[in-house]
Amino acid sequence: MKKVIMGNHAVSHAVRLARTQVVAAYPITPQTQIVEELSNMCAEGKLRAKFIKVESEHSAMACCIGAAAAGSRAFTATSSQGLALMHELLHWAAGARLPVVLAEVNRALAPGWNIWTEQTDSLAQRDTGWLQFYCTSNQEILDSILIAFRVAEEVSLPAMVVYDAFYLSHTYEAVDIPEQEPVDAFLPPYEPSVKLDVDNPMAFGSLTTPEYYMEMRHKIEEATERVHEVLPTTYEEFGRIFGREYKAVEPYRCDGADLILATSGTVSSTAQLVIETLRERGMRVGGLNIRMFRPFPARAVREALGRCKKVAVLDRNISFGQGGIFAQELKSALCNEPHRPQVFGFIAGLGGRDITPASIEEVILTADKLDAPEREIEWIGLKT
Amino acid sequence: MSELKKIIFKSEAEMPSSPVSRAGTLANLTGSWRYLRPRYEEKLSPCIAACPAGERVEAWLRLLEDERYAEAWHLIKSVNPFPRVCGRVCFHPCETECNRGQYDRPIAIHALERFVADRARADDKGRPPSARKTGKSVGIVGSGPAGLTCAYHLARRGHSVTVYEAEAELGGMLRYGIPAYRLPKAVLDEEIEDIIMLGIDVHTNTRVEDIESLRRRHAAFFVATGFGESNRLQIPGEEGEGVLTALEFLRNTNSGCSVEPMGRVVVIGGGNAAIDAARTALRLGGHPTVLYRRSRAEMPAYAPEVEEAEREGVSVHFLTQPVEIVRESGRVVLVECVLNRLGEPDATGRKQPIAIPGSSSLIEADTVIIAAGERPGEYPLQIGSIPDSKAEESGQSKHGKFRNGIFVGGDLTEPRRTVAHAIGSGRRAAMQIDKFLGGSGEDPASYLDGDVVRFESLNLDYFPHKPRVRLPMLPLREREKNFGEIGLGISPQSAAEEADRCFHCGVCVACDNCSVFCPDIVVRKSSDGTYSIDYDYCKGCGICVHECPRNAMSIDEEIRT
Repeated sequence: MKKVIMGNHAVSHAVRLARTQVVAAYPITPQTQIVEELSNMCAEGKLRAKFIKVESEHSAMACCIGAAAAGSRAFTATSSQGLALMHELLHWAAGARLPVVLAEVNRALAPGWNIWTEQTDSLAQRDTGWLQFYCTSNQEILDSILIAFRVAEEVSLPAMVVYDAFYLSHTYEAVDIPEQEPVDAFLPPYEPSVKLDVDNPMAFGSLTTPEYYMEMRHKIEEATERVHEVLPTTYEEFGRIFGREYKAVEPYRCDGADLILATSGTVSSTAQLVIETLRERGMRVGGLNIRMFRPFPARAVREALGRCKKVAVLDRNISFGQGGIFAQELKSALCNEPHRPQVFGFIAGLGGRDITPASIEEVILTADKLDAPEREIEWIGLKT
Repeated sequence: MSELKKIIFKSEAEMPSSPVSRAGTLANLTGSWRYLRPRYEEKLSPCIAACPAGERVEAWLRLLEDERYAEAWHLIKSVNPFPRVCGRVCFHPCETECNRGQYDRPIAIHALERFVADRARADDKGRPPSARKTGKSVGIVGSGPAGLTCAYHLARRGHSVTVYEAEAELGGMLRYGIPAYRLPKAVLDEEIEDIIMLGIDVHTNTRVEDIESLRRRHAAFFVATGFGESNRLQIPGEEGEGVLTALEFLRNTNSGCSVEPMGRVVVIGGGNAAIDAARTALRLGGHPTVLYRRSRAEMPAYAPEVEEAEREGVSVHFLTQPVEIVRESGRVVLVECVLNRLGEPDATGRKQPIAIPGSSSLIEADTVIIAAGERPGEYPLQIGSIPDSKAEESGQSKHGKFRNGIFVGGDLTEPRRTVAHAIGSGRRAAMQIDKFLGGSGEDPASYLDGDVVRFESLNLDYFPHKPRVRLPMLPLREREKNFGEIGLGISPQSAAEEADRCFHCGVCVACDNCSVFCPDIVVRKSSDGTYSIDYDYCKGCGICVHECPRNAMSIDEEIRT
């Protein structure tokens, strides 16, 4: 059934449909409405989950880890400072191979105190071993939560579903909320091979000496790489059941493009409008929406970009001293290719500043007119 | 313990996906790490320790909380046959000792006792089945709270009981000393009726002159004749018309004798009898003034009663000592007084009043009531119960058998002369008599000898502050010239809410905290709501003990041999 709902509530509905068994979360703007709605659903009996109130995000993740270790489907949601506080336990969840799903609403980190969108909070967690999916619409948020549970449980790794504060979290869109039955068919109950059982206790997370630690890490890497195989078939099955198609990397009008603009999150949909206009003006430009960030879809990126001359990357995030994080990832994916495009890195929209069609056009035209980047980072819309 | 085997992984494929042991960990008895040992140990609630009548206050509060009124009532009645009386007139030391008093305000125990007893009496008379007859007979001399409590317990144990009362009706001080506005006669009558219905033989208007004459009829005697005589002031003008003792005055009023117009009434004394007399005089149309020779702080009367008396219009003059009752043509006209200052404390710890020279004053009076304390008088000695002429000495061998099965109790032996103390004395005497007659003598109010739970040992994080129930009182103007009961009852909802404030000091109420917080999952709950600790795996962290809100757990050093 289609309903006009905000992005945060799209998460709540997906968590309900996933028959999540444990929800533990600490409130933080702009995430709070997700768990607010979930607590209502629990109170009304629409979701038969244990809702655990906690005193911090650190505890929220600790609860999810315990719940998942005991074999439950566990969920939490957070943003910005909250995600930063979880950092230690994000590593733990991945190392213990627990398929916790986390909704992460991108919000800039303080100081200066800011509640608006920026991706630095989630991208700063890129090395924790979590899968990361970036969304462009409220429908995609709902679908991504279901897909995240499915993939996470398949490879025994935790997954983050990431989207922009306010542009999606608080914005109402028409969302097709599936019935329970097809969701049950897509997402069977979580049944781990080993779980914490008080009647048959085992030692979990115990000392692992140099003799074995490296192999354990290698196993995590292998599981992460396996997502490249699992995800396409999962997307395919999802499309069959629900009629909506997704890909880890989505090219837009890339055929014959000389210049491709790579984006993620809500900027991608704005970029498509600009690309459409510029195509009408005869410019050979295309777009690339990067939906999955971890594992990084390097092969798909190379396939999409391998034949163009230039790539502009628009980052709503910054790794100080190195530039936009998506730009870095693209460069590293392309660096061993025989025909490498020139990669232009742009920073825009930090701390929730609007990225308008005009600023996207500026990015494309800047990259178009230069043969090679003049500097590592181009700042768009900076007051000088 | 199975033999430990070292597993060596030869390849990554053999290894688990996350660091999880291959074997179960039950073989690892982590309890051996423990150097502190928690255990369940219930302790004594201060309300129970403080109750002179021996009631298990905390336990019946718990029943009341669950609206199990009949069970609460039976629990009280297993110890105290007078809960409706005590709910009204007891000065409730339980509330003074209640730990909640150090947190916000104590539980209104007396109001709850009254609630549960009034309600149960209305709902169900629920008399306990009478026990098998023992064929043993006990004579009880005096039908005050001590005598009737003793009779009640002996009858419940199957003994044949005969009560001898010098007055026309049963009840002693409950009937003749306590005014009806504090204890309605109907309430007293009903509680006494419940006792007598157990099959007790009653002889009123019967003054026992000599126990020896009744020897053949009874195998044992309980003497609880109370403090029937009043002290005098030993000042000029005291003898004659217009001067009477508080006991005489209250007795006359309470037995329905018509009382002459009162006029200006001067009550001399600072105890409860003085306040009862003054408030009674007020209701009979008099204008009472209480004279007390020390200050308010030293007053033996129960402070809230004094406050109520003053609110009603009784004036109290402190540090005022009468030196003469002045008469004109035989009629009382004035009381001459001197003012006192307070000196050093005497043997009782109270500051001694010292007259200020030249401070004399005159107070107009039509009637003078003397409330200067009471004493047992010669009567108990005459009937042969007390071996020594000094009543004080009876305290040394409390409830002891004096001669050939004669037991003494009530005001004659108790250190404090209150209704609750008399009830406790009567019960203990009944147990001794039961034993003397070959019964078990098992006391329904014998509690574990545990430590009394101190306020500091509670975990207050679990108790939100909550206001004490407001106790409704008859408005002042409705008290004028009548003896209607002043204290009004509370609603079932208020009662449940008030009982819910109880900390249940030292008592496990199966709150599950120990089990919820145990990091080793070694606390097990059985179907009867009790817990046990699996010491094979308890590491002795002590979190269960700390998180027990009510100190029903203890922790000690682990001693291994």
